[in-house]
Amino acid sequence: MSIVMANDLCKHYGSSENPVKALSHAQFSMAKGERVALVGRSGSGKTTMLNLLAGLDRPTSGVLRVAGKDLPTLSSRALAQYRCRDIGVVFQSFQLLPNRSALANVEVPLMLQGMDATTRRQRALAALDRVGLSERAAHQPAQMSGGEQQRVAVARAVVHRPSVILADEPTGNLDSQSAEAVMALILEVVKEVSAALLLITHDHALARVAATRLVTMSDGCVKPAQRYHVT
Amino acid sequence: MSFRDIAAMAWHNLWSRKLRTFLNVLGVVMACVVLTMMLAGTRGVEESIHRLIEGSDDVRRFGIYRSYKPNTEVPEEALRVEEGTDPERRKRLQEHLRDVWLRTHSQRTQLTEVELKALAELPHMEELRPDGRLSGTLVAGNAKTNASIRIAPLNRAARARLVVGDYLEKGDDEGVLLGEYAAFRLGYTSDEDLRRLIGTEVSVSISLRNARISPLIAMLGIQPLTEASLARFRNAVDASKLQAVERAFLDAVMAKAITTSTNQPKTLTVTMTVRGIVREAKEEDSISIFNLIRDPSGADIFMTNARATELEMQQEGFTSFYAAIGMVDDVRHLGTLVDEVAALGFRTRSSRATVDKVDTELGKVRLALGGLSLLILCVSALGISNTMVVSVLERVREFGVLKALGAQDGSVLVLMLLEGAFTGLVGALVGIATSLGVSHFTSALAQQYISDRLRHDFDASVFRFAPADLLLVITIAVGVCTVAAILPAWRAARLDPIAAMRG
Repeated sequence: MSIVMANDLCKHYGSSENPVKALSHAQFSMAKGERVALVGRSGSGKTTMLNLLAGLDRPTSGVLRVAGKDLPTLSSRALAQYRCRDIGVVFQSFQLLPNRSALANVEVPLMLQGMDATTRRQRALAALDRVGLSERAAHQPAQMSGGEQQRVAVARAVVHRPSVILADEPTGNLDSQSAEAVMALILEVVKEVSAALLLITHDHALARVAATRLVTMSDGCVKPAQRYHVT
Repeated sequence: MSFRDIAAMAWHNLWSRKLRTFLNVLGVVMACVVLTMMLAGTRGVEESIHRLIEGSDDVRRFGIYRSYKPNTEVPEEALRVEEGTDPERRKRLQEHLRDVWLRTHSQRTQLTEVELKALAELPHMEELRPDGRLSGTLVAGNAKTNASIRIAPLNRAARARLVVGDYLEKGDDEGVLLGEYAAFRLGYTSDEDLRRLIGTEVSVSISLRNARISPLIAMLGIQPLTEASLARFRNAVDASKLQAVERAFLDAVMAKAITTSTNQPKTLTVTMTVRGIVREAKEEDSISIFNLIRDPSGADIFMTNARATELEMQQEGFTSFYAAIGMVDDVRHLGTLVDEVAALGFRTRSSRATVDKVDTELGKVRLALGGLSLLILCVSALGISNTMVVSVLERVREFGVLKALGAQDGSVLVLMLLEGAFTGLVGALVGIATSLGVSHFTSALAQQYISDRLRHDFDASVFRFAPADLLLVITIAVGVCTVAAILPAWRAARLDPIAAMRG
C-alpha cells in the first residue's frame, strides 16, 4: 500500500500567460517503509516535489496523497497539523532554531502537537540519546559542529515518529566523514521508526547506498524508477 | 501548541535577545514612570487638598443673608430684554430685573428667632450663629473698657485660639471668653495675670439703643431732643404757614425723632464668669482662598450663642438680624445645605464655588498630564513597533522553520503579540517600582512647593499610589505594547515558510 501517491502532479510558478513549470504531470509513489532516492540536476524539480510532499506548498493541479491525506484539499490549519504529525524533514542547512538548546529544538515538533512538557522532554532526550548527543542537550546550535547540528536535525525529524521522512541533501553541508556518519544514522533511525524515506540528492553514490529505489527527475518530470538491491 | 508553550517561547525569545529587550523595556519604563507619577501625584494632591478642605472650618462656614421670597412669580413683562441681545448679557440683565421686581413686589425674608430656629433645624446644620453687632462696657474689678461682643464659635479653629483657661461650651450662658487685647486693656498682660482672670466675675453693660440708629446720631453729632425742645419745635411748626403735605412730613419726622431720641437708652448689665482668654486669628490659621466668611475673632467678649442672641433681640426696635453664619457638619453636604437655605429665601455666600473650581482645575491638570503621559507611551510604542519589525526581519528564518515544522499562523501571531505584551508588562512593573523610589525623594520637595502655594502647612503625602491606578498603568502599557506588536506579528504570521527558510 502506498504511503505517498502523486498522480499527474503539476506545479507552475509565475503568471498564467508565461508559467514556469517546476513539475509537469509527475507520477510518483512510495510504499510504506520504502527508501527512495530522488536524484536529478539542479532545477529538475526535486525541491519542488519535496515542498509539495512536506506540505509547504500546494500543487497547481493533480493528486497528492500522503499518509492517507489528500494534501491539495487540506486547509492551512490541517496542513500545519499534517506537517507536525505525519512527516519529518531533514534540511540541507539544518534549520535549527538559533537561540534554543539542542533539546528544545528536538522538542519543537512535540510541542507543536500539544504534548505535555514532561513527556516531550523525555522523548526528546531519548531521541538525542539515539543520535549520540544526550550530553549536548543544553548546547545551542552555535556551540555545535555541522555534523552535530545535522544529528540534532535528524533527532527532531524522527522524534514524533512520522510515517514519512523527507531528507533534502542532508549531507550537503558536511565533510565526507560526517556525511557518512549522518547518513548511516538517518538510515538506522528511519528503520527503527518504520518510516518511509525520501532522500533528495544529486549524489548517485549516496543514493545507491541509502535507497532501495532511485527516481530521477528531469525538467519537472519523473523518469522510470531504477530499483537497487536492498542492502 | 498550547498557550503556555507559546508564552514560554515568547519569554525565552525576549530573554535571549537581552540588549534589544532592554532598550524596548527602557522606553516603556520611562513612559510608565511619567504615567504612574502623574496619576499618583494628581491623586495624592487631590486627596490631600480634599482632606484639607474637609477638615477645614473655613470651608464648612457659610454666610446667610436676608433676601426675597423666591417662590414669588415674576411676570414675564418685568424680565423683558430686547430681542437680539447677547444671550449671556440678556441673562445677567434679567437677573437684575428679577431682583428689582422682587424688591418692590415681594416680601423680604427676615432673620428673626423663628427663622433662625428653622434654619438651625435643617439637616447637616452643625451650628448657626446670628451675626450680631452688640457692644458695651466691660468692667473687671476697678478697670473698665469699651468692648465689642460676639458669639463664641464652636469650631476647631476657634478653640485653637484659646490662650489660657477653657473654651466656652454650648449651654454655658453665664460664662464668657475675653479677647487677649481686651484683657490687656483691663491691665492683665502676663500669663499669670491672665490665669488670675480665669474664674473671676466681670460685668458687661450693654446699651440697648438700636444699634443701627445710635451710631448714625452719634456720627451726625445730633444731641437727642428733650421733651421741652420737641414741644417748642412742634409749636413752631404749627405756627408756620406750611402746606398740609409739608406739615405731614414734619409730623412723621418728629414722631420718629421722639421714638428714637427722646427715650433715654436702656442699659442692661450682666455679670458673667471668665472661662478663658482667646487670641485674635492669624492668617495661617485658615486657608485664605476658602476663608470667605470669617469668624469674628477680633472681638473683646465672646458669649454663647443663646446668651448673645437673647441680648441682641432686647435691643430697641430690633426686628431681624442682618445676617447669620452657618456651619455644615461635613463639606460634602455644603452644596445641599446651601441650596436648602436658598430655597427658604435667603442669600448665601459659601466656598462651594471655590471648592468646585479647585476640583475643576485639578481635573484639568489630571487630563493634561494624562494626555502627555499617553503621548510619551505612544512614542515608546512606535519605537517598540519599529524594533519588533526589525526583529521579525531578523528572525524570518526562525519563523519559517517554526511554520515548516507545523506551527499555525495563529501561534506565530500570538507569539509575537505576547513578546509585545511581556515587554509592556515588565516595563510597567519596573516603571512602577521606579516611580515608588522617585516619589520617596521628590515628595518632600512637592510638599514644600504646595505649602508655599497654599500658604498653609501641607504635610500629607504628595503621591498616592492607588491599586486601581497601578492596574491602569499596567493595562495601558501592556495594551499599547501589544497593539505596537500587531503589525510585526501579522507579518511574521503571514510569512511563506519556504521563502522564509531561504532567508
